[in-house]
Amino acid sequence: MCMIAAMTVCLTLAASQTSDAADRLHAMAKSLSPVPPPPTNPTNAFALSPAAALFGQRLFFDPGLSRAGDVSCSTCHDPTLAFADGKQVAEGLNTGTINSPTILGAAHHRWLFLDGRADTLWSQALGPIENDLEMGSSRTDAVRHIAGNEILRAEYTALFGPLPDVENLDRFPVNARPGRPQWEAMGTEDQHAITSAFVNLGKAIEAYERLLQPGHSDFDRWVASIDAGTSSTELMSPAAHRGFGLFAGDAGCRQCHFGPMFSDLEFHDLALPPRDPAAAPLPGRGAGYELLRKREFAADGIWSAAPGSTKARRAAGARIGPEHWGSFRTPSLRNVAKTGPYMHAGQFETLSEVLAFYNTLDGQVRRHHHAESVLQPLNFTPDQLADLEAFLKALSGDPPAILLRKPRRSNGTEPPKSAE
Amino acid sequence: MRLSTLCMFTLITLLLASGCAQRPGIKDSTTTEDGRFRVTWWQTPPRPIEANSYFELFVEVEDLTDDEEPYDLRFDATMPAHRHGMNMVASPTRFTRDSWVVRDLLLHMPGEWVMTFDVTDQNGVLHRASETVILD
Ligand code: HEC
Ligand code: HEC
Repeated sequence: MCMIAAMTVCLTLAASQTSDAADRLHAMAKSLSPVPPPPTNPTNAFALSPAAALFGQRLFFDPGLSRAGDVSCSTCHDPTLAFADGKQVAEGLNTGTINSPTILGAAHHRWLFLDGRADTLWSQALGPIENDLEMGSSRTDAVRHIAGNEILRAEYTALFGPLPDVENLDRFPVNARPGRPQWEAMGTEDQHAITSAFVNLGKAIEAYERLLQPGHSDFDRWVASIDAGTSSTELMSPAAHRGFGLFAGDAGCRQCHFGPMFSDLEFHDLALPPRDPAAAPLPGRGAGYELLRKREFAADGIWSAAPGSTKARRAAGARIGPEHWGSFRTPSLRNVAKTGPYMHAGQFETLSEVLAFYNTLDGQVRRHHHAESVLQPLNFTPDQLADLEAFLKALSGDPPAILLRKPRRSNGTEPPKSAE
Repeated sequence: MRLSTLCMFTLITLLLASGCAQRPGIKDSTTTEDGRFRVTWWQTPPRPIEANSYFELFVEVEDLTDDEEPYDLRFDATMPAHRHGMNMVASPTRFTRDSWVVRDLLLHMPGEWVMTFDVTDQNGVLHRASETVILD
């Protein structure tokens, strides 16, 4: 009797250990999938409005928001390239220093831009329009572009009410934006009216961007099959399965790449080799934090619909430490197979180059002695690296096709009311 | 009889091994290094702290020697192995004579965090209590 009992316990223990390991892996998989809807953003009262999203989608693909009418958001966030641009660093009106990130899933981020200098999608969207490296326009001209286009004007006024009288070039001069004499010459009320309309454009763009979820991947299909009790291994290749085991285990990737976006949404310094060894190193979050403090369109500022919200309070509570100098936000790994080149300055062309870096940490440049130290060389075999890569490639999905282009009138939504 | 004892034993061992017995954030207590104050803290509502998920701590400070009102409480958390701290500023708000609420806390990575509670007494002397929590 005693023997049988002891054996039963031993067997149970052994069985429970293997099933424990599988359960742990499954639990980890479920913490990464599915992608939930993005967190709410009370600072934008139009965030969930379908009409605002349609208008925002129009703006996203509209080069008319740039100075010379030749650059739109979609120039650098190209829907055929998973809303990145395939270039090492962005090229708008001028060449930048930062790689264009995908905006699929951007609505999940706590901080926008790789240095986190914006805390809401709507405020982020206003940056490129007035940035001379990107679209180089001005808020006054952006609003004038809306007023001068029948469809845009009709959609805008239906959502937000009347536009300022921007046809009057004496009151609303060309090129007028903060920091320029044309802007300083304007009356305070006119400035306020322009900025107010400009903010509405950002809020509509956010409504569109919130719909750009990363899309269902092979990994998500496999995770869904766990719950269905089938745990089908056909849904993801054997290499990707092994790669997931490494990703969640020995490789330590999930110290930073975790949660449904495969990102802790915070900042780390991988001590990456610079793209151009001669150029000054980029300060990353070190500068992003200062810009966040000084930003015009803050979550707790006058243009926010909920300056007292939890979101606004948390954004205001951000802390900067010496370890943040040179750090960048952990990118999402969803769709990563489609968004190369990689890292903030496009340091690596391919995923295997990224993994080769994590494997040896060769070329790391420690820029200061306060840097955090999380990474250890993986010392994986080529087969293990190939498995990890196969896993990363199983994270690709597509958003609905209807969101991938300039909207047509017959979008299944209300045709815009004709202009007055 | 014996079987059920054995099963009980196995169950308890398994529970302990899987860490169900004590999860950080439910309720915990520690004293300052000099033994002067006892600091008791729990998450409101009580539930385990999760990596990268905002939470709120309720902290009670008890003067074990003089029953004096503590002057102030500061909270911080760091990851010694990674050489970094939190990415947000913790600002405890006094709730009663001996208790504080610390809102919007965020331990953004899994791993070992050391939380520190610095109690200042009425003479301006600092007494530190610390507690290690491991998030998975
Ligand atoms: C010239 C290329 C270019 C144009 C045009 C451009 N972007 Fe970007 N975008 C970038 C780059 C580069 C970054 C990252 C910059 C940084 O982090 O400093 C970025 C960042 C972003 C982000 C933040 C993503 C994240 O993960 O934090 C969003 C959202 C975004 N852009 C949306 C837009 C919208 C909306 C427009 C049009 C109003 C636009 N972009 C126009 C290149 C561009
Ligand atoms: C210390 C936190 C941390 C760990 C651990 C970590 N990463 Fe990263 N990862 C980052 C950060 C931060 C970046 C962006 C760095 C930059 O651009 O400066 C990044 C970038 C990447 C990129 C490039 C994505 C892009 O769009 O440019 C890939 C791919 C990647 N990591 C995969 C992995 C894998 C696989 C592992 C495990 C072997 C891993 N990471 C471990 C923080 C981490």
